[in-house]
Amino acid sequence: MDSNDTQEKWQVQLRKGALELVILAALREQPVYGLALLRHLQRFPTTAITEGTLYPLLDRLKREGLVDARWVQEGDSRPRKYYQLTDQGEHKLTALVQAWQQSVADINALLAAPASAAPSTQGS
Amino acid sequence: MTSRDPIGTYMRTLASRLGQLDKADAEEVMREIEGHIRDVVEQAQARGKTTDIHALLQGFGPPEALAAPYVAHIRTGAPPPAGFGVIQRVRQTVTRGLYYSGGASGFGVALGLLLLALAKLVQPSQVGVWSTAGGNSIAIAWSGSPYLQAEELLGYWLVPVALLASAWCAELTRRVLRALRRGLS
Repeated sequence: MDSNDTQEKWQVQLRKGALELVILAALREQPVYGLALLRHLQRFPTTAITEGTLYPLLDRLKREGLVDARWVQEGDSRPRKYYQLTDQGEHKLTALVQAWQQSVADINALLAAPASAAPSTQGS
Repeated sequence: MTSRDPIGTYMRTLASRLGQLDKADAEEVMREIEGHIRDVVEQAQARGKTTDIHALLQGFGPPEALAAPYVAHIRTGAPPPAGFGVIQRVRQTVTRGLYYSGGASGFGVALGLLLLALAKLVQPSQVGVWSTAGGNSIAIAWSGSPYLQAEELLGYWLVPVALLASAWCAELTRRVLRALRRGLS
């Protein structure tokens, strides 16, 4: 119980940092509206967020100028608010992807090589 | 207690919690959230299924919690309109006295400038901006030149200049009051 609880908290923290990255990445190709974006993220267990997390986050990204939004009506359907990356969002995404990949590479290296196996940099 | 119209109840509560936003911003949030809910319900109906409305609304969380991040940036200081950086420093500790005295002063100056422009049209020789002592002293007067051998500076240009200054002053006051109003609510 405690172990599961701790693991869940750790996953929540991990996801919190990665969420902005995966949302920016999801919007990089073409405009996407909220419900479609939510379903896209819910395809993966670690990014399966709720509506109550997604919409305020999109609002923040919009206020920060990382995404832009416009209302689009297709045929008889209800108008939907589509989000897409701005130039500023593209730059942010590039930076976040680099940081993420560096972190993953570093952590993988640390997982593969315990501290005792690392070469010493200090004189004895 | 369960509502017969849970979506309507949810949206009404959300609307009241978004009251601090501009009306247009609040309506846009409402439109997006309600559109999402209606889309889910209609797409389920098209597949011959029913939607668990309560579970769906649970995904959005309580309306108070959903509204909180939308209005949080206002409470911590909304980005000011371009060119009015001073507004960013306005915080919630605003008194009603400051609100009303600021409004009276700002709109009072705007009204004065407007009257000045109109007066220049009615009595052009009596109203103007005069300079004397080699530009060391400048006076705006409604009683003819206040100095001997003074030079009137703007002539009829005083009319558009005063009108523009009046409009700018009124707009600045309106924006400052809007920011102060958020602090009062």
